[in-house]
Amino acid sequence: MNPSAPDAGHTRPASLLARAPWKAIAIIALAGVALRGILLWLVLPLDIQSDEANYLYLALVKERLGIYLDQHRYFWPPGYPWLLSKSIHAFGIDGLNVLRGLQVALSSVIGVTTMLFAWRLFSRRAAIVAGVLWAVDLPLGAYTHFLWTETIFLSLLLPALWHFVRAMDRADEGSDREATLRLLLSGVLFGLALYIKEYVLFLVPLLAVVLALRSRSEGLGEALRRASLPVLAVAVVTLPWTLRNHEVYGRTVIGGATLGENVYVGLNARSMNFDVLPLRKRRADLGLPQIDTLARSWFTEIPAGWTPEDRDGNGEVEIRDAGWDREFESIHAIDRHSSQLREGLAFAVEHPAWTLRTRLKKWSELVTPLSFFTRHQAMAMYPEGSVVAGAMRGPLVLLALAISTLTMVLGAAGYFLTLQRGPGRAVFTVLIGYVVLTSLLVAMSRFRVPLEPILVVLTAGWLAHGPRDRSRPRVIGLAATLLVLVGLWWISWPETVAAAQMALGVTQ
Amino acid sequence: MKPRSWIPHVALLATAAVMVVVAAAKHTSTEEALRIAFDGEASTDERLWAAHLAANRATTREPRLGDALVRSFLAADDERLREGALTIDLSRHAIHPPGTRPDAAPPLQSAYVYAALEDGEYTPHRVRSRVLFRRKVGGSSVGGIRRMALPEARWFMDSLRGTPLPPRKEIDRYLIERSREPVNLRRPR
Repeated sequence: MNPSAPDAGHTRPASLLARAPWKAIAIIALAGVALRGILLWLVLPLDIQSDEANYLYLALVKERLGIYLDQHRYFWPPGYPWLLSKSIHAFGIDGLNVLRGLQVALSSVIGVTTMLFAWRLFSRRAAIVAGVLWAVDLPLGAYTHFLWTETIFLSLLLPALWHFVRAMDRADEGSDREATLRLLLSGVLFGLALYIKEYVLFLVPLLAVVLALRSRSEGLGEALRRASLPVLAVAVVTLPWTLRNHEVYGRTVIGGATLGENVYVGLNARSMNFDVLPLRKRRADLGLPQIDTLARSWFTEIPAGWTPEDRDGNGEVEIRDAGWDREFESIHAIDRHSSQLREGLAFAVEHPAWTLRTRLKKWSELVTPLSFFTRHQAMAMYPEGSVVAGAMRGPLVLLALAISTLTMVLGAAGYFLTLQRGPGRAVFTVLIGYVVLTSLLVAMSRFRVPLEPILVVLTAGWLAHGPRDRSRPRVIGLAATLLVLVGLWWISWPETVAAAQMALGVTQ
Repeated sequence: MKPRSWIPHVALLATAAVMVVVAAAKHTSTEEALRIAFDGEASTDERLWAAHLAANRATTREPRLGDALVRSFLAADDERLREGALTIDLSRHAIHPPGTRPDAAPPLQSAYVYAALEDGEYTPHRVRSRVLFRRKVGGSSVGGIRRMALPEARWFMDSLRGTPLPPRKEIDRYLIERSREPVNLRRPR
């Protein structure tokens, strides 16, 4: 037992917390799932685009040839294409919709965990507010009908985080057996999440460090015992895939390998905003100026002193002509990472002012009020004549924009003024920092998804309780965060407005 | 301070050790993989897996894989083997004649996929070949161009299930329309 656990001074110890309001949680989760189910029904038939097509390609190859291929520029973890291949094996092309249905059902896990976090960190009232916010969270909910990994990934990541926090609670209370089991379960879930996205690969060691630091009063041995358990569990769960990779490639690859290509895309002369890039074709069709021409050029323009070349050989020198080329000598993505990382870092160091202003742009793209739901609307992906693309288009797009914006603002208020010290705050801080730092390379609204349920929890805390701690550092922290947030929105404001207008259909 | 259990750690390490031992026991050497890949007596699954191993373990372009094995697969009676020659595994080992553009598609596979239609109709194998070769991720140098669209995925699955494909005219019209789409060099994600 650690009686000096920071939680104790501010909130009720976990063991004294009332039983979770399961009835309310179940009702709200069912309502959220029903809303997502209705949305799915309304948007079908739905075409595929960008990475959805790539996942499907991998699934078709797996179905036909029985092997899982890499993607030449990337090496994605196999979980999502595997699920797709199982689904199309059983249901043919209708398997795409079956998987969408599964995602709708699995979103209940996200909803329940979101509410549990709000209950654990704030109160029953906050849990209900969080549930309602999650249920109508259109940017998050839309991923249930996209063939992107986000819903499945979140349905593993959030429970993993939940058990991690609860393990710290139980350890603080001296319930070692439950703490150990929860750490084990947390590691298993993180490991499964790694089969979907390699994103958490470095998050788990960071969380283990937090766990070790919080357990240091128990002695070094105990701190190591606790902290090593989830890491070991992750290693064991991912070992079959790691061993398979070693057999196939003769090299060790844990999870996947996307860093090299992300460095090529993110630490290079050209600026690529993936929330607006796919809108090019439609803007051309509509006779609208391309969105990148509207961008504030100071944050996107090429490095001073660098002379662009026509590297793609299309006869024009354009911003898309990269500052440095992909490494062509290595024929495998996994072998290109180190050299591309070297190239990217060298380019960044060589152009420090460019690096600084473009990193601000990346963060601006991370916190954009846009989402892949608004992107789908702007691309006119939803079936013509459907209510989602017709009568409800405007209200739904406005709802999506509003939820993204409000959860960022109120979530910041909840984090600084409502959330008390303790395991939950420590884990949230690590996750927020991780998402923010990894987005220095490539950013878009989709990369904010791991934070969205957390922002919902924090927003719910704020709405349910308002400020609990008005200490000077916290108020200053909130003011600075909001100032930075507004500044980051200002950076990409022209693109955001143009994309939002397309999503609303007011540019036609 | 009461002693805490290390049993879960030991159990996890033991599980990991068993997995490593099993993997080591099932290991196939590269020489063996190459032998199986070329072995006409081996099963299709064995040859596909062996080619997968050999192609991915090689760290530089390997003519035996990019030329000889591709020819061997494309000449096979089994349609799955022929389709196996069109994926990224062997396409990245393609040997281009001197003077070819760096983004030119693998020549053997290109010639196979674009050969004249037998009996004037698209066979299921022909449709699958087209999808597997042209819609792969990785760019034109490995044969990929434009992402797969839903009709192609549907035809692919129909071809596996024995559902009749659309008439040639319809498929041709679709493919011509797709070929006219601009290639988005900045691939959205």
